[in-house]
Amino acid sequence: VSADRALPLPGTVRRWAPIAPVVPADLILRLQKYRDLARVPRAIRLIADAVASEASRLLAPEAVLWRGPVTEVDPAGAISIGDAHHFHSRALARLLATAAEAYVVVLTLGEGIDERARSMLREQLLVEGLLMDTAAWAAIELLLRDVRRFLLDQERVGGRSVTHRLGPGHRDWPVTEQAALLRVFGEVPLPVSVNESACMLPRKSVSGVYGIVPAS
Amino acid sequence: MPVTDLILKDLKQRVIDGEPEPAVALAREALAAGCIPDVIFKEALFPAMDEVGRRMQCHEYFLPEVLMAARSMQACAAVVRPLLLKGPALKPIGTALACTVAGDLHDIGRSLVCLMLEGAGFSVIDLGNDCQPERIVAAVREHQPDIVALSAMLTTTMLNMKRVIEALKAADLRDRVHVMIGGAPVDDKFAQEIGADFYGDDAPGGSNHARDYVTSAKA
Repeated sequence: VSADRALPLPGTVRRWAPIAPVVPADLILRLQKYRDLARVPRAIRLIADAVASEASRLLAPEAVLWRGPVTEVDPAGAISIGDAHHFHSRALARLLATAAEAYVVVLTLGEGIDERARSMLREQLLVEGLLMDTAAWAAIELLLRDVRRFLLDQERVGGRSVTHRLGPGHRDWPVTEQAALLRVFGEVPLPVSVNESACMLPRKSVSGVYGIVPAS
Repeated sequence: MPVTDLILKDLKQRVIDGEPEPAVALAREALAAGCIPDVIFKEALFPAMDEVGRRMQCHEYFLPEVLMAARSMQACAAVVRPLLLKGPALKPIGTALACTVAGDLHDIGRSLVCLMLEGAGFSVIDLGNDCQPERIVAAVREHQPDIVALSAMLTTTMLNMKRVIEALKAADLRDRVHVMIGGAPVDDKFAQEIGADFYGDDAPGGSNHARDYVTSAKA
């Protein structure tokens, strides 16, 4: 994930700059629902190749990771993490049902790629803008995959595993709890903020919780 | 088949295939062969976008292909439209005003809806994203659209669609416009709850409905 691979100690926060992934054009096209890449029109393939090449240069990823105790899980959907961070989601309760601890992650690609996608849209380069936007989400997926793999590798040593990620806005977890989730990080400066619509800025950012569970 | 018919058929296919340069060349060829601009729109460009919408709805086309086709259509329209002034007037079938509601910064879905409305023969006013109700009301007063198309992509911003409808009511404009909504978090039930007239689950569905609505309203 980064040159310095230390995990945060319980109750602490770790911030690092992940290595920007190379975003393959094929992945961008697959995310645009092309299962058979041979039937992608040539003009679109050329745009996807150019966008993929440019996208990787626009990424400036930053990540923040907190590790701490899961203090309450009510199957009805009330969850507490850390000292006094309360959330409401049955899906999150199910995710953390057997978790004594959890990771909270925030990951952003920075402003560059989002601004580029938006400028393309402003210039009516809609295909380019769409594929640049898709490239950004592809990059986030690649980074999240790296993060989870890293967490799994670390926890496996202690006989533990890591659940999949769940974030506000997914399943029944209200997106309005986004800001509350970021408060888990306390006074640590974050590379993201949350606007009044509960949208993270920069826009190409994600957050979420991974439960630390006994390995099956 | 007359040569102009062959050119228009080829032009329509190039737009469907998303090939802007050959499409523009054919549009010029059609004009040179004596096609009037009105016919180029009605026989080639609009039917091409109809077909693109149909293919999108049955998952033969994905978003990039739809946008490439729209790019081809717009490139041809840029060549043909100035000449409309010299020939018989091609009136838009109606005026549509589209925007993403306040607090929401998403653009792609709304842009696609605008393109499909344009391809269906509408004059389109795109107000962009993060539009406050007051701005939408002012634009409705100014442009007097038949259609107001509202987009939201967040559960937190979809509620602002209701604020727009309430603002239109307060301004005594609600009965003069047909309000359509779309976006990931909304559905038909939500449209009914907030008093919208239509929910479109995709851009072609929205533009088809808009065309059907203005056609029947003006019949």
